Amino acid sequence: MADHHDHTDDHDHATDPDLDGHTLLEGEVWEAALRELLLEKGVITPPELNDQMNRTASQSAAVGASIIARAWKDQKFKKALLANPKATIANLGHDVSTMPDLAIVENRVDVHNVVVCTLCSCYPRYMLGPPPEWYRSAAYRARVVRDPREVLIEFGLSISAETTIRVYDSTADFRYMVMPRCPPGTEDMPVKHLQTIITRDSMIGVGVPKLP
Amino acid sequence: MTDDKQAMGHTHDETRGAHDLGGFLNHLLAHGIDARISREEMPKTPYEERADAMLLLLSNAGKGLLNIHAMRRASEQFTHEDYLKLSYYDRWLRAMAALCIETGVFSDQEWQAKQQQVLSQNKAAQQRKSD
Repeated sequence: MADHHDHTDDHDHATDPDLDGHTLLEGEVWEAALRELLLEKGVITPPELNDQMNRTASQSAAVGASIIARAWKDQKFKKALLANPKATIANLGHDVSTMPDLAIVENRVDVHNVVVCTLCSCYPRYMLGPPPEWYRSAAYRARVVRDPREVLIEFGLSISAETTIRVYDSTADFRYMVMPRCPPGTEDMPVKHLQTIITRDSMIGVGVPKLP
Repeated sequence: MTDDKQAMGHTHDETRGAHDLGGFLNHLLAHGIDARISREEMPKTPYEERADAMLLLLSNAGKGLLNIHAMRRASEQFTHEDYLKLSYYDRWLRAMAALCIETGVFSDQEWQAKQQQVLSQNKAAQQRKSD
């Protein structure tokens, strides 16, 4: 039969698929209950919720990649970016007002950097978009600080024994991201092309930029 | 050498907070958690997307109602079992609800009643579906 829902409540059912008849998981019950209470109390509104979901969906590592690519091409910019990331990013026209403090750590021939948040899932969202599931996993958080070399091999990245690996542990107030090394043979590549080889993983430190 | 020995064993003193996972591989194993890092890129489910949006809306970057430190404190109070058993967003959902009750956004009674309402609506929807 046609499934006509009884709209006795006033919130937006476009964001509320819980009445489609599948058995709800415990977390789905919590989410629906929390959302409905917050909407009823006027703490949040359906448009705010939709806008926030759209904002998150539009965030990606493209912002970080474009900034790193520019730094590779422009030594003066790179120096400013490493010395004062937030102000330098703001100067490009980005709104960094709600961004926690940020450090950009530069990979060198002798030092490879990796980022984690052992206590939680702190991540430079503005630069890299939402964190991937593995970044938030207990396994990554527990293991990468203990044996980063081994973990990186699992990511397909073999770091030479002569290269020091530094693991940076992010906090709620202070986030890290990696400036990967520019691969050789890219000297004539325009920034626009360069930024396409700078992956999210290379800015977390579990990957490196690769030429196509 | 105590530190080294402890480090090598990856032991986790259970008086530590449940969130304090850095280096404690054996702690995960003791709780039956898979130590492999799954690199599969799973898209968030719709309820996870909404939980994520609520988290950001309520936190510093949004309305500043529940700041990130309060939110963390709430999730760090979970038992080790709960912390490791709950999925990432389920942890945040529990933490957000606990803080909303604590700060008087809604009462525990309202929270319990609303969950019951969601469940009975879901039951009714299932009933309609099978009709």
